[in-house]
Amino acid sequence: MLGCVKKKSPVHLLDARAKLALLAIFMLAQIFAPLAYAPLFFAATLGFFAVSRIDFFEVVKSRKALLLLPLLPSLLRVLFEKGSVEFAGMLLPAGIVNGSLNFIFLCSLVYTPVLFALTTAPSQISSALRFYRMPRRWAFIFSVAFVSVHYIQRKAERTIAAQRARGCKRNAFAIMLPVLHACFRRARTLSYSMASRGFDPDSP
Amino acid sequence: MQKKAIRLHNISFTYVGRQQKALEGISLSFRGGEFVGIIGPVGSGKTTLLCCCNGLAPKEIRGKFSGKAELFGKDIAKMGFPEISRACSMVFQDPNDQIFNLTVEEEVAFGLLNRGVPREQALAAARKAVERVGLLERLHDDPSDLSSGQKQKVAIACALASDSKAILLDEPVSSLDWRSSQEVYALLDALVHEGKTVIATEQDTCLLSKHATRIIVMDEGRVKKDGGVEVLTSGLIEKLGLRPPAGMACLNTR
Repeated sequence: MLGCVKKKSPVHLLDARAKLALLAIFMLAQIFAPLAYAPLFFAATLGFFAVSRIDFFEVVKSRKALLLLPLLPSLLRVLFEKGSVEFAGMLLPAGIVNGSLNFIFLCSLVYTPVLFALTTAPSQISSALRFYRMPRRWAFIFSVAFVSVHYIQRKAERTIAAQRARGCKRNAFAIMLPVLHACFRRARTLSYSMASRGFDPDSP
Repeated sequence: MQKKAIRLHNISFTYVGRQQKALEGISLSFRGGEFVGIIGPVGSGKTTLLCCCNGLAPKEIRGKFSGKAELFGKDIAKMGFPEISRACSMVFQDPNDQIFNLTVEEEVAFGLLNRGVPREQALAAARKAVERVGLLERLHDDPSDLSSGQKQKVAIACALASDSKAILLDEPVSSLDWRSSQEVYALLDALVHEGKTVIATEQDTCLLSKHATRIIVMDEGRVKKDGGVEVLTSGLIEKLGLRPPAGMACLNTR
């Protein structure tokens, strides 16, 4: 883990409800703004990371799988003209520009919620979601899901290492199945643990 | 005569989709100030027994349940988890599966916040519990940065913070080194001296021989023996494929 929770930056100290509202506004603005504005939003995202004293590149490095989310659609976009669904079959200058902008746009879209999860405790995420009228059960599910990303990442890395040690190089099933199994096991034990600590998802 | 903390009457439990009973006809009672060690081979029903003590089975763990379990005189079937958690806490075998908060403080306060304890009060209680397990300097740290032993101590601190009268532990030191195991058991000893009921499943007979006041041996979902620490040297332990306490084993083989 990054140990970011130790930091007492303005982003860490900001009220979770305000943070959630700003996150929603920021993401909607990104989605509805023209793609040409993507570098501005990305610069703002880097600024948020800097203010929260969390190394953006360290976050990217420690969550490599997340990088696939902006990377794959952007690679596809390189091969298409803007506004065209016809496969170009070659690298086009317009495609490269579009793909790059798209990559920056998606990076910003993916890593801003990650920053939110890294600077907000699950209980605060849950309270903030409940403040915005989300049912307690769903608010809690979302808050736990936010912080479970790093667990899945870690489990995937360990599984890849274990499979490589057995001579398995590129077998998605050999990696996916143990990771899924571990995730389900963790979800089950976590639910038992929370129940034994008095958590009732349907309580007011 | 001390009041019964937990009473199990003729408990049987079968997991969904399985034919064989995980527990069969278990009748036991545990008093305050007792340190009970539950020992048995893998799959003998130790963890299921703990889960019946705090209502996880059958409330959360689905299966066919029969019999009656009581917690401080109340029928567990009629109690909700918030009420059960006030009287009985549980520490699971792998702390990695139960810790999910971003700071040790938040993790330990989680149970109290669920009970509706005001945040400031819950955090103060969490701080005290963390201090007791010797991790005060890690109070604001991310639990995933801690060692296995420290994580297990955080899990125990969660139980301490709730100040429940009974604590159930499922192989609490299985992933710890010798020194950490000793520290955890010393902490459990202190809780027993405070009058709390400690029930721990364990494979390490040496630890049980030093700390437990009562031993329950389980096999195939049944209680095979219930008695003092002398049970560990009765020969039954070896018969079940478990290792008797090291010193005593040496004496037996000479």
